[in-house]
Amino acid sequence: MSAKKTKKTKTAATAPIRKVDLSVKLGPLRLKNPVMTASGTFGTGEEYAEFVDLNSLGAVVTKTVTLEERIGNPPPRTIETPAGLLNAIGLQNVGLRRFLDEKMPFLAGLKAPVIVNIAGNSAEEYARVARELTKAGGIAAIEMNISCPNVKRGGVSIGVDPELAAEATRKCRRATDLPLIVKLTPNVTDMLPIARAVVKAGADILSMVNTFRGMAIDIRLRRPALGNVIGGLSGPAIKPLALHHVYRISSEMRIPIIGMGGIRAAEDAVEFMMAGATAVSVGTANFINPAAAPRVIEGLEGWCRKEGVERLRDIIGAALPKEQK
Amino acid sequence: MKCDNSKKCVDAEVIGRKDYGGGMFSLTLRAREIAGCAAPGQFVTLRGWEGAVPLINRPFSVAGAKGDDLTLLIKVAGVGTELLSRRKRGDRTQLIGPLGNAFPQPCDRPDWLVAGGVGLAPFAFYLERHGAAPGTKLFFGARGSEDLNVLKSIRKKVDFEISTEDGSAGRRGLVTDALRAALRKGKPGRIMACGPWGMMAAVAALAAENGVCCLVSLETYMTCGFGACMGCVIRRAGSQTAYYHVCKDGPVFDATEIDWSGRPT
Repeated sequence: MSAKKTKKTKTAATAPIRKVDLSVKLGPLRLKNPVMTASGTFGTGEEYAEFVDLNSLGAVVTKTVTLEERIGNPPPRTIETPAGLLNAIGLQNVGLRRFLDEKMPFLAGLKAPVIVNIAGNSAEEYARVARELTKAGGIAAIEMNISCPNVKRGGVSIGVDPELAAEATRKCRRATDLPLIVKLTPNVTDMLPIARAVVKAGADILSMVNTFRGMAIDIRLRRPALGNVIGGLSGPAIKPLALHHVYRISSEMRIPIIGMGGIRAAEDAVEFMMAGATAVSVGTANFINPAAAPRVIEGLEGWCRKEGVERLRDIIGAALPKEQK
Repeated sequence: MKCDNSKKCVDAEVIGRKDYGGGMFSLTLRAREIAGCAAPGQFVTLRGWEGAVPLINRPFSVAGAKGDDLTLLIKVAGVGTELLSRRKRGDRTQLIGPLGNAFPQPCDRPDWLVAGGVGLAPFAFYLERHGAAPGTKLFFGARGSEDLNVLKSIRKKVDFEISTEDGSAGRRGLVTDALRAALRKGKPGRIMACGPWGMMAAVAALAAENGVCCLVSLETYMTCGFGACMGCVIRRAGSQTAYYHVCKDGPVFDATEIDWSGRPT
C-alpha cells in the first residue's frame, strides 16, 4: 500500500503506521471501533452469528423491543426502490419478557457491547422497559426509538414533538443509569429543537437518522405497494440526506452522535465521522451482505493506513465549520 | 465436502449457463461451501451486478447441487433477473445460502410434484437428489410450448404430464386441471407444489378435498433471506393477525398452515 501513497500522505505521515487506533469514546461508552449495527437491521445479532464474528463489532444494536409482543404490519412489508429500501415492518418483536428469556442469554454472552433499542406507547412504557432491561443486566446502553414511522401509537408521534420527546427521555433517564441514546427521526422540518430537547432531558448520545417516510405504488394493482401504505426509506439513496442532518446538528451543538443512513463502505463511514459523528451504524447493507459491518471496520483500518491517520477519532468533525472542530 | 450446516456468504463464479427460452435460463455457480450443504427445497440469494441498483439480492430455489456446483433456474421477471440473465461463464457473483427449510425425504408412497414454469426448480433438485420412486409423477404447467425446454433441466427419468394454457403442447388448460383429473383415478402419498400463488392455492384446495398431504414452496418479497429483516411474512391459516416468515419458517410449508385467501404480494 505504501507504494501507492500519494504525495500528500507522504508528507503527512513520516513513517508507516504500525497500528491504527480505531477506538472512540462515544459519550460514556468506550468502543474499540466506531462501527455498530443499526437497529432493525441486525435482529438480535444471532441471525448474523453464522456469517460474522459479532465480537469484531464496535457494538451490537438490537431490533426494537417493546413491553408487549407486536405482530407487525400486514405484507408486503418491504419494497425496493432505486438504491433504497422501503420498509414497514411495524416493530414486530416478541415483547420484553420473552426478549429477556429467549434473546438476552445469547446477547449476554457477547464480548461486544450490546445496545438494546426500545419503544413504547407512552413515556411511562419507555421508562418501564428501560428499567427492566437495566435490572436484567448485561447491556451497555439503551437506545430509545422515538422515530419509527411505521407504528401508529408512540413511535413517531413522540419523535416529532420536542416536549413529548423530552418527557419520554426524562422518564427513561430516571429509570436507568445506563448510557441513554435517543434515535431521532428526520421526518420533521427541523431536527435541532428536538435534538436540543432530548439532550436537555438527559440523552447522552443521539442516533441519527431513522428512515425517511416514503411510499411506492403498485401500478398494476393501483394501490400502495406496502401493506402499511407508508414506510421508511433506507439505503444508499438517503445517505446525502442523513449526512446533512448529522452535519447540521454537529455544527449547532456538542453531543456525541451515531451517524447512519446508507453506509455501505468505509468511505461512507468516514464521511459521517467528518460530518461530526463519533460512531456510525451500518443498516440496510447488512441485508445485502451479512458481513457488511465487519467489512466497514476492515475498510476503515485500510483507509487510515492509506491516509496516514493513526487515530481514527482525529477525523471526527474534520469537515465541520472551523469554530466547531 | 463435509457440511457444517451453517449459512455462508461466498463469492461464486459462474461456471455454466443454459438458455431454455421463454425468459428462462439456468446458472451454475461454483460454491463449494453452499453446494455441499444444500437440500432440495432450500434457497439462496444471488447478487450478480455492481453497485446499489438494484439494492436487494434476489432469492432463488436451488435447482441442483453436485459436488462443488450449484444450479439455479431463473426466469426474467424484472431488473435483477434481467441483469443475472447477462451473466456468463467466469463472472463473479455473491451467493448466500443455503437458506430456509427443505422438502422432507421421499416416503414409502409416491410423490406427485406440481410445478408451474420456473417453479420446477426445487423439483429438479429433488429428483436429482432422491430419484423418482415408482409412481412419482411430475405435473408441469406452462403458458405454451415455448416454455417447455426447461424440462430438459430434469435429467432423471420421471413420468410427467404437461399442461399448457394455449394448448400448444400436452393437455390444454391449467396444471391443476390435470391434477384434478389424476386425483379422480388415484392418490399419491404426498403432493408437493411450487409455482404462482394462484396455482398453489388451487393445488392446496384440491389436496384438502382429496385428503392428501400437500407441501408448498412459497415465494414473497424477500429482503435478507436469513431471518433478520422480518419482511417476508405470510398469513397463517385461521388468523388475520399472525404471520410466518417465509425465509426461516419456510419456504416449504404444509399447505394447511397457510391462509390462501389473500395474495401475499
